[in-house]
Order: sequence, then C-alpha cells, then structure tokens
Amino acid sequence: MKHFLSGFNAVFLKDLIAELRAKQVLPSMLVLGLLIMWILRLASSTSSIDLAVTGPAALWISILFSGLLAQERSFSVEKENGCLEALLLAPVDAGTVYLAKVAVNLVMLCVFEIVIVPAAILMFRLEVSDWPVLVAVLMLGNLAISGVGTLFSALVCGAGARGAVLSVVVLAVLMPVMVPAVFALMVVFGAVPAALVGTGALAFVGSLGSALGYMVAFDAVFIAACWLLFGIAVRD
Amino acid sequence: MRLTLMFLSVALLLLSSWIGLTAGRIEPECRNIIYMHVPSSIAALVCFCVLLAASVGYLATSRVSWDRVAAAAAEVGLIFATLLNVTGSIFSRAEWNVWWTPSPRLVTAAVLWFLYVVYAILRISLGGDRGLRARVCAVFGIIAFFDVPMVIISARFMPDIHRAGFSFDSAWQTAAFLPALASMLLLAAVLIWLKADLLAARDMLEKEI
Amino acid sequence: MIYLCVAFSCVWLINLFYLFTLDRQVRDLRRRLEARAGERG
Repeated sequence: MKHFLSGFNAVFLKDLIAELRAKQVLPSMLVLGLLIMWILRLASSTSSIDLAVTGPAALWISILFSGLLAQERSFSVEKENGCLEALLLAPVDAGTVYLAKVAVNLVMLCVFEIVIVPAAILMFRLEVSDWPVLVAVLMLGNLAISGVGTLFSALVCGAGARGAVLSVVVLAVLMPVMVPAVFALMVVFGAVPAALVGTGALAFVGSLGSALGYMVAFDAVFIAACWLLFGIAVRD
Repeated sequence: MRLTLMFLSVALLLLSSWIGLTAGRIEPECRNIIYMHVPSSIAALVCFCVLLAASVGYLATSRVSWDRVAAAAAEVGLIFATLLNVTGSIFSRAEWNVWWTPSPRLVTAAVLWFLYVVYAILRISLGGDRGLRARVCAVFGIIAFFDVPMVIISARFMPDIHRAGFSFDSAWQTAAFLPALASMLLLAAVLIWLKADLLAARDMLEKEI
Repeated sequence: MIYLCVAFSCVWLINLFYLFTLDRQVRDLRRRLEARAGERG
C-alpha cells in the first residue's frame, strides 16, 4: 500500500506540476468549453423551459469535449518527450500510473468546472436546487470521462493517430453514461418538476437516485476494466 | 465447404420465408419483418462476442491470427448491425409510424452500430504499426463489450415505447423463426471465416513482398 | 405489406453489397498473386 501511494504521488505530482508550469491545457480547455456553451446558447431559443433543458446538455457537451482536449494534449506532450516509456520503465506499477493520470485529469476537470458551471448557470439562467447533488453528479461524470479517456488517449496518442480519433472512441464508449448524467443535471437544475419524473413526458423514466446509482456502477465497472487493461495496453 | 454453407444459409432463409408467409404468418403483415429483424440482432450480438473472444485471445497470445478474426468479426458485425437498424427502422415505421425514436431497443441497436463503426475507424486510422493497431483495437473491443450491457441497463431509463417482449403464438411461427435464426448465424460464421482467410492471404502476400 | 417488401429487399441488398465487396477483395488478391507469379516465372 505504501509502495502504491508513493508511486501514485510521484506520478500525480509530476503531471500536476508540469501542467501548472506549462499553463497550456487549462486555458485552452476553458476557451473551448466557453465557446461551445456560448454557441449552444445562441442556438437555443430564449424560452426558459428550453434553456433549462438545453443547459444541462450543453454543460455536459462542453465538459466532454474540453476534457478530451485536455487528455489529448497531455498525452501528446508526453509522447513527444518519450515520457511514457520512461514512466513504464520506472518501478511503478502500470495500474498505479493509470490511476495517477486519472487523478490528474480529474483535477483538471474540476478546476475547469469551477469556472464553467457558474458560467453555464449565468448563460442558461439555471437555478441550482441542490448543491451537493450537483457536485456529486459532476464528479461521477468526471470520473467516467477521465477513466475512459486516460486509457484511450494513452493508446491512441501512443499510436500517433490524429486527434479526432480519440474523441470518436471516447464518445462512443461514454454514450450510455451520458443519458443518466444529463437527466441528473436536469433534475438538479429544476428542469424536471418532481411530478414529471417517472412519466414518459420527458425522455427519461426513473429517479435521481437510480440515475446516480447507474453512474456509480458505470464508473466502477469501467475504471476497473481500464485499470486492468492499461498495463497490457501500453506495454511494448 | 464455405460455398455449401452459404447455400445452406440461403436455403434456410427461403424456408423460413416460406413458412413465415404461409402457415406462420403474423397478422398485420408488416410484423413479419420480425423474422429477419430478431435473427440479425442475435447475429450482431454473437459477432460482438466473437470480437471480444478474439480481442482477449490476441492480448493473451499476441498471435496475429486472433487479430484477423477480430477484424473479420468487426466487419461482419457491422453488416449485421446495419441490417438490425435498417429492419428495425422499417418495422417501427410500419408499426408506429415513426422512423426512429429514443426507445430502449432502438438506442441499444444504434449504440451497437456506432461501436462497430468506431472499431472500423480505429482499424483504418491506425495504419502504420500492425502490432500496435492490433493491440489498440483489441483493448477497444474489450471495453466496448462492457458498454453493451451498460447501454441495455441505461436504456431502461428511457420511456418504454410500447415495446413489450413478444412470444410466438403458434408452433408454426417458431418453425418460421428458427430457420431464419440459423440462417443468419450460419451466414455470420461463414462470412467471418471467409474474411479472416482473406486477411490471412493478404498478409501472406504482403509479407513476401 | 410494402414495408415487408422494402425490408426484405434491404436485407438482400445489404448482404449482396457486402458479398460484392468481398468479391472485389478476392479479385484484387488474385490479381496481385498472378502479377507476382508472372514476374517470378
């Protein structure tokens, strides 16, 4: 356990400090995220019901794409410097490297969301009914994006493919978790009046609890699977 | 051998159509699409299982033959997933007058199709190093396989548009369904076999050059 | 009824299209094989 922690900390801090020094990823994430949300805001009408329904979707879209951008940048930088090979040669378990990278991406996404979520609330005139639930939903979504994205960006960037391939692959895998995620955010932002939950009036049947439970299950399964596969995936 | 199997598959499909249009006819005529729709969905899922097995096999043994089977299964699976979505869409238009709707089964079918397409994209775009491409695609095959039950569960969150499970009323209908199922599965097996052999031949050709 | 016919046709068309694709690949392989046999012999 101690070995795990020291390895984890080493990789985690290295990436975090490198990122903070370069100041490359976070600004581009923010710009991309804000632009996406702004375009979606312009494209939706101004009736408040429309905004309340579009808002959560727009928020998740911008989080998804900015998160992918961040992961792609960080891995392509590592590939340029031959860092990944060096990391794997170090006496750190590949699974530990994976978890550390997931943690770094999580931190990036959280910092990004600290800016983006208030921006979304302002742009789409949303009202937050339940702050802890909002944070929980966002964290679960971040975990999914980071978990799957880290594995695939290590693979795809290592293979030298162009950027669009990563987005395609990760979006395809994350498709099932986005439905409960958007729904949970819609509930949090009050776009789904409690009376309507459970009817077929909106494209959702279920409760907030089940949506959260589903996201937890998805995260658990996929992070475990990615953790197991990471070592095999990046070995030479 | 493969040719005979293919003819057998066509014969089974004709048999199923014959029974299906006479004794095993389902009443609103358009519902007979089910005889082609459900077998292709089962075939698409079976291809996905083959893809998973081949991916695991490749990662475990690093033998290229597994990778070829995976590529073949992905391509054939794409065909069956396309069939699934097309027949499903026609069926939903015939039954409920909409070409598509976010209902659980339809979304699952669409996601399956997308996963196959993404596999194909990965195969094509990671041109250079064969071993690396095989590894990346194998990892994606395994992760995507976990996606399918997840989609099925998450689809329960969507409005259940009159999609109850159906059962066959009479023995004739089952008699019409089973040959169709056998036909599609046989066709899938033959196509995967054929495609894998083609890829092996191409690899042999390119290696000697 | 027409939907049934359309569906049936689509199934056959898609299968035939795929078989056609496979056939082209076989022809391409054969052509390359014969070209190589030609330049060797």
